[in-house]
Amino acid sequence: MFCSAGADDTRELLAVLIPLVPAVLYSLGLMEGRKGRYFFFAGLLCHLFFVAVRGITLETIPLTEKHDTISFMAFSTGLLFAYLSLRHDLKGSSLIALPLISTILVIAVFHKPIDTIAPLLRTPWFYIHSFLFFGSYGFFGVSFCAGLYFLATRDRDFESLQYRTALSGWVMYTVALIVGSVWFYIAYGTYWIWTPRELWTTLAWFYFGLYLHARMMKGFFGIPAAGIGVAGYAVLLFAYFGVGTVIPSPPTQF
Amino acid sequence: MRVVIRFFLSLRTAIVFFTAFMAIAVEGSSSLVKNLAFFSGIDDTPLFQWLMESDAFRAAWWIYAMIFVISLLAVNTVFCTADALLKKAGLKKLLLKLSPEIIHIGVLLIMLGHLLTASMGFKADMVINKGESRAVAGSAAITVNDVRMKTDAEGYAQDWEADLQWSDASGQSVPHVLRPVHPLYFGQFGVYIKAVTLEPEPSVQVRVCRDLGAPWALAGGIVLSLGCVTLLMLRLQRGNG
Repeated sequence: MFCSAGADDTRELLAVLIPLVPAVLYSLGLMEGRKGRYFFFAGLLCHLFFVAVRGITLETIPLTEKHDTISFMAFSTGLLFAYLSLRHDLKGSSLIALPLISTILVIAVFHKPIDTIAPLLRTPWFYIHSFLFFGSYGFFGVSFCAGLYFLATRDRDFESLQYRTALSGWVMYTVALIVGSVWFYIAYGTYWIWTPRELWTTLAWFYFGLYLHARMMKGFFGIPAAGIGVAGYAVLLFAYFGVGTVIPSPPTQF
Repeated sequence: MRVVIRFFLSLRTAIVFFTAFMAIAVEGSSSLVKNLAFFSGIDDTPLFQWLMESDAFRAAWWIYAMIFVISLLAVNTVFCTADALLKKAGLKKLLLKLSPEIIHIGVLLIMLGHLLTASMGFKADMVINKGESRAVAGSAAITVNDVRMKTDAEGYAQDWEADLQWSDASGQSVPHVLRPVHPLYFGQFGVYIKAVTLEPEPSVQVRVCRDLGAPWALAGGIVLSLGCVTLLMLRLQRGNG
């Protein structure tokens, strides 16, 4: 009994410490020049290793509970930012992106990992939904960074990057919601339920729809649209973190 | 008439409707929490039936408002789509050029799906003990022959299933092992397993439903996804969007 409790404590401690390693490496990525870049990519590799370990523990894709989904949210943001940084000069936007990625990863640490997978989640539809949904957060995260950098510097390239990443994220989010509806239908016999979580998820979709439409209008293009897009990330984060804490939402039921 | 057409053709109108929808959704999410008991049955029956039976406009006004705004948005979408189709007809790479309109058509189909789901169909949740039968929608019956559950070392349910028999008025009888995310579809009905309990006696919680809007919503989802992907290709090819 004593040994088992000790093993549990060690596992819980490791679950906290392991994600902190990539978080620290991401933060060190703020260093100037090549050294910073090496730390960032080392953080990404370390994070990938951590995701893989969770996958091996669960014996499936680790996207079934908050600890893993938040970690994946940070990973997808980091991966996209890394990819874009290889293709474009992202200048000082890493000053926004890297602290954001680290912060999201630290938030994951506050959620205890759960190793039991509910039977209603065991379908490829759920995993595809979850992958696209939290992958889209990566696009929206990079869009937020680009938008904020544009607002600070007025560099037009970043306004365009903000739009393209937001559009890609919105497309991914849309497909995620559709696939999620299919999963929900085969699991619960309905594709919509009236809970604050579903309402806020839809609201976030409409919000980015509004941003994409507003950007096409005279008077909105540029700073106003960028501001709307940047605020959209807050809406998105609230839809995931705020609902259930600030606004109580019952767990998914029939 | 021209004023009405111009109003519904405007992108500004769409932005106003988007904003209105979001404001109502914020109010709705707080209302759902404040009136938890009142809204507890909302997902158990088709929406319009629930609205008529609950008869409480004061608590559910925001759902009426949401339906109203969504309807206006649908009209706005139809106008913009028709206008764009008329303007863009005959252009090369039609599919890529028309992707925003394909998205709008997908959204409209999803709205139609929700309308059908909310106005027609059938939903029933029931608990059936092992060895017992329950009548469904007047003409059919479900018999539960066996219930099984697998738990982990800590006692958490890992999996469950039930052997059941679906019989209808024509005398047809279908045996089936019902498992989570593996529903039984029979004609227009779907049977879903919610949970099982072994104590005090083995029983299974099931939902039986007939959702006429689901195929339309699914078709809308597919069209919407196709439109989104083509739009993304178009915009990214263009470079700066």
